[in-house]
Order: sequence, then structure tokens, then C-alpha cells
Amino acid sequence: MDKHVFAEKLLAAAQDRFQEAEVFFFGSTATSIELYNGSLEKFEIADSRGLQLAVLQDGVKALAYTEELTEGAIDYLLDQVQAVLDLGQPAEDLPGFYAGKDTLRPLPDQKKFQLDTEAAMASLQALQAEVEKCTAEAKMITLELGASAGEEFICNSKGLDRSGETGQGQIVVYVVLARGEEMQNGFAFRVFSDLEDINLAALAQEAVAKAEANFGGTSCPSGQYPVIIENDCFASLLMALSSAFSAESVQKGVSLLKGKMGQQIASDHFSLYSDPLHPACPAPRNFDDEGVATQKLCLVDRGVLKSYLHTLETAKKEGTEPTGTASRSYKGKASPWADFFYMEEGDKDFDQLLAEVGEGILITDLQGLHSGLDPISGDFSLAAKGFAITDGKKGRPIKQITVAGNLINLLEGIKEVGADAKLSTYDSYIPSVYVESMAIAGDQD
Amino acid sequence: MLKKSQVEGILTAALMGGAEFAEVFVEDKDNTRLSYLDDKLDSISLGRDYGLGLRLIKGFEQVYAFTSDLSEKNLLALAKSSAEALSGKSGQKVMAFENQPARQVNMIRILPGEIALRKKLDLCKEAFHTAKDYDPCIVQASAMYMDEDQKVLIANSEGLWVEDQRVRTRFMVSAVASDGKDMQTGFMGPGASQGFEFFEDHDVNAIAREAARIATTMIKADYAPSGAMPVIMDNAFGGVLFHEACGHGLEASFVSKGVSVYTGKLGQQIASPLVTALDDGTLLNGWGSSGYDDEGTPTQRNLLIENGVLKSYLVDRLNGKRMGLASTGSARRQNYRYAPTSRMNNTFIAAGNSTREDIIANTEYGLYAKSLGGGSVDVTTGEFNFAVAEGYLVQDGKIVKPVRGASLIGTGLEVLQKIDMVGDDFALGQGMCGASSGSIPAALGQPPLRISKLTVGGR
Repeated sequence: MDKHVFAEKLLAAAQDRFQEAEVFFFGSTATSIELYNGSLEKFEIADSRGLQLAVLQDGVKALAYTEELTEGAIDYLLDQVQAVLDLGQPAEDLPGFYAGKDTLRPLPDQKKFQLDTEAAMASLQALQAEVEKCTAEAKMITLELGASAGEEFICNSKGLDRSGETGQGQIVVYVVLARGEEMQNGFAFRVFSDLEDINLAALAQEAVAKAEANFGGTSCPSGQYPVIIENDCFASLLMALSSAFSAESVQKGVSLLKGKMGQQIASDHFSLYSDPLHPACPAPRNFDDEGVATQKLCLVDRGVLKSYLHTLETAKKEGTEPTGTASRSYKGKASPWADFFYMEEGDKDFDQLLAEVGEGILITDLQGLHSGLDPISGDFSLAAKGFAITDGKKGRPIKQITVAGNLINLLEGIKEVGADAKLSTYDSYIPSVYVESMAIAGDQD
Repeated sequence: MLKKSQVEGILTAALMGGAEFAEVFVEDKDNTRLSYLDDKLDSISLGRDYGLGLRLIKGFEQVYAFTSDLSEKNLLALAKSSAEALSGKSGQKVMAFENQPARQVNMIRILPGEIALRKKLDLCKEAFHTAKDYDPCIVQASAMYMDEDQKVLIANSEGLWVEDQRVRTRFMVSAVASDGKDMQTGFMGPGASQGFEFFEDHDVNAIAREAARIATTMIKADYAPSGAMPVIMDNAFGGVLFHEACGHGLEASFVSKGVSVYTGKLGQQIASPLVTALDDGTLLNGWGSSGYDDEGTPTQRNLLIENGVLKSYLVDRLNGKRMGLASTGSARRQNYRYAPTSRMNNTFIAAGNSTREDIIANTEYGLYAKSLGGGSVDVTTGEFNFAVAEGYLVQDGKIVKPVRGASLIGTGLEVLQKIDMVGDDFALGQGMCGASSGSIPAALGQPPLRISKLTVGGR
């Protein structure tokens, strides 16, 4: 059945049985080509979708989902939500579904990248040649070029009917270089709407340079060091901290930012925003997954905590306005989440930051974020790689070290912010930071 | 699910581009997830995953297409566009399907769908209260119930027709302790390829108490020391050591391309002679067990390392072709949205002879990691890391005090050689393992063992 027909029928049936009802649909399609050492390795065609029914009855919310949109699936969803309501959970003071009377900001005019197989193969072969130009040590060159698109709509018994689409291209280089027994890898990617805008030579160089720089690395003595955390790496740490900004975490008592509103939680060099209409955001959106308009939301202003991320439910509980930051998959309930984080840049470029540090360590890779960082306490101990900073310049490669600390102490210790913000794989636009002192453990005392 | 004539039609259309092999993976999966927090039902997700993945292989080229629209028209269109991605002419025919016998390695007794939601909720409620009331320092707790019932059909152009059912149940509790200043979390989450009979073997209150005990212990702990030192890793989830340090590096997806540090090392002594390691997809009720793998090959018990000598890799169809090796029944995928590749099922180091007490008594100074968190590895360099969830400092052969916040790092080949004591008290743990074919349930295990020197990242 067509998704819109299915949604209409389902909503009509659900409205008959329940006080409030909402249908949330998400579908995605993608085509991608992967090359391995110059030959086609994988061609992928993706097409999937899912739909959620949410209902509200006497202060209890229930939801269920399906990926199959047939006549039978309508009854299935109605039965599932009924089964949840039959649990007889105590009523809560929940907000109703969103009516959507607010005004949406206009979306940027964006060309949607479509993948043409022949043109894509030609681009990948050109990229392959660029990588080969950069290095004779490649053990493996994996290249990927793809187009992906997402489609979402929400409609409910309050009259909300909002839909949106995103679409972009992505190109990835992953290389493994071998020097004797030692292998090192490097990775670089770009997100784009027009492939013409991408400098393939620069992309190849970036991945190869990353791999090359790590050869011959050794550990270093344990101790406290001044540190620069490179933009990509700092983005991964901030991503781990993002749940602390969730009003849901705060209300459950599991956020380290609980009770800190209006307080200084970071050095005054640190300002953080959430806005999926930031020019660097690859998938711009003007409403969130509950239908609320997105906005430029200041979370931290010069070190002072200004806002949490809210859904309709957390906002009602706190007696405040929703912030357009609800995120949900069709499988579950909406939770607060920043679609796109960005940080205010400083005025020093990367070399100036290095010069300022003088002697210290540059961290370029962090591993184990899903296990070695406790988002509730903020404590972390992570495997790291990087370089010595000697005489204000990038020095020898360092590996097999850990960097440990607490996220809040780290934010408080930011002495400078770079002018080198970059789109990260974590959907954020983050510069490098210079941190006064961090605990490094190596294999020498 | 689809009829044989429909599958034959799809495979025939898919082979038109010159592929020599075509395969469909059809999935129909019921999911239940409940979480109970703040003395109320926090979230509940009920639903059904449904879709088809189509894979074509020509030489070493692979086409993978998937959809959740299983109408005949859409499937034939998908087969056609998949065929067009390859530049060849039709050649192969689809052989007559031969049903493979049902292979029940897990002996499921009570399907989750037969149990009322109320009963599942009550288990969460009970565990929540047990964790919350364990100690006054416990400020928050959550109990999560999860079950899934996955029915798959795997059929290919060589005439294979496999139907398999995978039923899994997991129960997880996390508890947060606070001393008014800091917070520490304890987690316990056993799972099995079982239906509701899982709860005959697992007491939710015991799970809750263990999570709360870890949180309560860790809130009183000092920060772990840092530097290189002997490390004792306890059993069960301690198996994350082998999983990260070696297991991933034995997956054919890396070995076949020569980018694993274990490439070309079959038959060589790569570990201490005390180490014998296996991957077994047939373990009764194992979290990572199934009758067939996701390419329809029967799962098996694979001896990976015997007394330190590398005996086998983990092999799937396509990478096996590259390496000239047969599949070891190790092809896995999260769901129909992923092409299968070689992965671990239930991976563990076998028991040795030392007792836990001996190992601790023989350690002058070091870290005792009683329970472990997750980890990760860079297969090309062999560098791994994992987090210690509950650690203790050992001095003069005795456990002196709990320590928090430690992570352990090293490289695979080095750490396997440095295992110098292996205990006799074997146990398995359960987790989710993420890689290119998605997030899959995988068990890991070991007896308590000692590594003579490892870098501990404390502060």
C-alpha cells in the first residue's frame, strides 16, 4: 500500500478508537558504489521504511511500529497499542500531540545529488589515481561514493501534517599503508550536493597523510601534559557529552549537568549551539521528529549553561517551551537530541595553537568512546594516538597511550579554541581546542 | 514469507546481469523492548521488522540490495536494477530448491509471544525495586526486558533453501550510585538464545543486586593508577580481551585482504602455549548461537587457537573464495539491511589449571579487573582498548581496594604472548558486537587469567 494511503487509513481508524493519535513515517533510500584496489567491490541499493502509530488515552501513551505497510498491518498496530494500554499504567500529565501552529524557517535551496553509475565509476577511478599518486605503499585502497535520501512525515489528530526530505552525496577514502611489518590506516570523507565541488586530490592526500604520519609511533612517559585535541577528536568527545544536555537525562537524575543551569560549566572560550539549519549541516531540517520548528539554540554561552535539549514531554514537565530537538526512530519514543552541534571558533589557526602550547601532546585519535567514557559521571579513560608538540611544532608520532579525565574538568580547562572548525562524522562542526593539562598514561613511568 | 516460485522468479531476474550466484535473505522479526525507570514504565517498543536482502556475486564483485516492500512488482524491479549494476550477460540458471533440515541448536520451549506483556513488565518492576533498595547510595535504577523472534528464509541460486528461527531473550539492569558529588554506574545484562524459559535459569533480583553492588562498590573507589603493570582479568565478560585483541583480527573480511595482523599466520605460534581459543555457534542457548548462519551454512564449533598455535580463521562465502577456504559457518548480519560477512558467534578462551586465588596470590602488584565494559580494536594495527567496569588494586598477592575509571590498551599479538596464568573457572558473558554487517548478539568468555604486562590508563 502507498505510505500516505496507509497513514490516512491508520490515522482514521486510530482516531475512532483513541482520544489522540499520531502517525510517524521514516523512509530512506541509498545507492552506493565501493571500489577495492581499483575494482568494483560492492554496489548497494537500499530502500527501507518504517511507520509508527502513537496514541494517547486517559494520560497514557502507547506506540507500536511496522515495516510492512499492508491492510493487515493496520490491525496489527491497533492491537499492539491496545495491548500496551491494557497494562493499565497510571495516568500522567502528558502533553497532547503537537498541533503545529508555529512558523517554520525556510529551508536552503539544495540540489539533491543523484548517483549515475557510469559518472560515479569515472569519479572513483579518478580518485583511485589520485591516491596512487600520493603513495606507493598502499596495501588496500577502499573508495566509496554514494547518494542517500531520507523522507519523513508526521500527521496527527490535532491537525499536524508536516513532511520533509533530505538528500546528499558522500565520498569516502580509506587506505591501509604497509611499511615492512607495520600497517597504518587513514580515512577522509566529504559530504556534498554537487560532486563537482569536491577536490579529489585533496581528499586522497588527506587520507594518505593521516596513515603516513602514524608510522613509527611509540608510547610516552605517563604524566600531566598540556594538550591540543584535534577538531575531529573533540567532536567525538562532545558527542559523548551530548546526552548530558538532554532534559530527559536531567529529569531522570543521570546528567552531570543537572542543577547547573545558569552556572559556569566550561571556560569562557567555550560556546556551543544546536541548529540543523547551520550552513555546514549536510541534512538541514526545519522541524523536529515531533513536528516542532527547529531553532538556533544556544546551549552554552561563554562557558555558562543556557539551555537543555527538550521534547514536548520534558518541556511540559519543566514548565518551559520545547526546543525543536526531539528525535525518534519509528521504533521508539521521542527523546531530546541535537541534530547538529556547532561551536564558536576562536581566532588562532592550528599552527598558532601549536606555537602557543610549546611543549605538549597533540591528540588526533580517540578510541573506546562507547565503553571508556561514562556519560553519567563524565569520567573517561580512552585509548589515544597523536604527536608530540616540540618547540611549538608537530613532532614525532605517539601511540599506545591513554588520556583520562572528566569532561567537565576538560571543558573548564580549555585555554584556546582554534579557527579550524570542520564537519565531523558526528554531524557537528567543531574546532580544535587547547586544554591546559590532561592525564596521559604510557608504558614508561 | 515468500513462495518458492516467487523466489525463483527474483533470483532468475537477478542473474540476468551475469552474476554467478544470487541469494535472498527474507526476515520477519517480532521485537519487544520494555524499560522501567523512576518506578514507572519508561518506554515500550513493540513491533515488527520485515524485509528482504538480495545479494549477487560475480567474481569478487558483490551487489547488495534491500527493501521492506515485498510486493512482487517491487521485488522484480529490485532484481532488475541489481542485475544492471553488473556488466555481464545472463548465464547461470537457478537450481531446484532443496529444503535443508530444520536445525534446532537452542531448543526453545516458551516463545516470547505466548507470554503476556504484563508478566514481562512485572519482572522489570521487581528488578527495579531490588536495585533501588539495595543501598541508600543508589539514586537511580532501570530494568530492561528484551525479546526477539526472528524468522529467516535464506535461498540461493545453487538450490539452497533454509528456514531458521532465532529466539533471544535478554534482561538488563543498570544502577547509579551517588555520594552527593560523583555518580557511578553498575550494569548487569545476561542474555541467551532462549524464550521465556530464560527466567527459569536467571533470577532478575540477582541481576539487579549485581548491578547495584558494582555501582555501590565503585562510588567508594579511588581512581585507578596508570602505567604498565600485570593485569588479572576475571571470567565471563573478561572474554572481551580475546574478542578485541584477536577475534576481530581472525575475521576473513580483514584477513582475505591482508590487512589483519594475523594474515599468513596459520600454523604459527601466535599466543602463549596456555591459550586455546574457540568460536562455537552451536552452544546450547548461547547468545550468539543459531542453527544456520546468515548464508544458510550450518554453524559449527571452530578451534581457532590450540596451545598458542593459530588453527583457523572465521570464514564466510565471499572472503573464503578470495582465500581458497570453505565457510566456517560464520557469516552473520544484523538484519536484511546488511550484506553478511564473517563475524564471531560465541568466542572464548578455554579453561586452564590455575585457581583465581593462586593467580591473585602470585601477583605482587597489579590490577584485578573483576568485570569489564566494552572495547574496540583497530584490526590493521592490532591496537585494542577496553574499559574496566569494576577494578581492584592488588598488592603483595592481596586485593587491597577498589579502583575506578581504568581502561586497558595494548596490541593483539603482544598481549596473547603475555598471558602467563590461565584459571579453571570458565564463564561466558553477553554483548552486542558492531562491525560492517551491523550490530549482532555475540557471547564471549574465558576463565580468570593474568597478563604479565599491560598499559592501564588511569589518572
